[in-house]
Amino acid sequence: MSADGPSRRIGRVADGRIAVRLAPREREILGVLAAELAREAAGDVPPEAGRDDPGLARLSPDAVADDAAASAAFRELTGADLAALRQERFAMLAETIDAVYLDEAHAQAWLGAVNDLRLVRGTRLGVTEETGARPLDETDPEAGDTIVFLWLGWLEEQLVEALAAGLPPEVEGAG
Amino acid sequence: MADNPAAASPGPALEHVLRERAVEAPRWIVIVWNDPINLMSYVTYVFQKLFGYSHSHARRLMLQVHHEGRAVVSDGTQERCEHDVSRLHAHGLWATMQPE
Repeated sequence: MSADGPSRRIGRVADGRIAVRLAPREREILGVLAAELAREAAGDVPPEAGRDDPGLARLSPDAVADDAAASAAFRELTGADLAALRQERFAMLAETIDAVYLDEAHAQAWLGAVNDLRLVRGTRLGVTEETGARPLDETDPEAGDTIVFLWLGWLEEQLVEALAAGLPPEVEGAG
Repeated sequence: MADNPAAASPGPALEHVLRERAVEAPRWIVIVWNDPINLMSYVTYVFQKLFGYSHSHARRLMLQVHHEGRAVVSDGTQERCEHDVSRLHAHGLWATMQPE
């Protein structure tokens, strides 16, 4: 796991909505990346990383440790719902990609979609906990993908902070 | 509310039923494993949101995952744990379940 992030562009405002102040170009990039992953996850297009793509596999990990049969059964049971939920989140992001304010449900969908993007792209890149801590090697052919990955992390950090501010107040002694 | 002395100590019959039920339904645990991608703040938030844990408890669990490589985040019947694992997977966390 890692933590990062410079200046803030997403935050919760007084009426409870989430304000998103991203440049049009940033929205365009996020929309394109999410739409692309939505098509790959739906199986409409082959994954960019090939048939045995570890990135897409990361979205449905084994559910029962050291038990492939039980994990397969679990996937059989929950896979369709999980895939439908992902597609719904991608669709909700797409319909609000230009929105200045998000309600709770759409902000949650943005968070889910951005996290999926980071998981898939980060897995394909083989990121480690040090990615982002080291200076970027601009001669690396994957430098562009690394920059996108770090940018998604910066977005996600702000979405989490804004959404966490809307959690119900804690009851003394609970948890 | 009034204090109900009967509620404090269940009778032998109830205790028997509860023990029987515990034997019938073996307990399972849900484990979240460390991964290099999920943000620490995100993992903490997901534990709060899904399980209703306080921020400090959720953060403690997240740090346990981060430093020790894994943490037990919930437990219960097999059904209950399947539900928790599927919710954790929907949030991109690397979760597994196993008998306790």
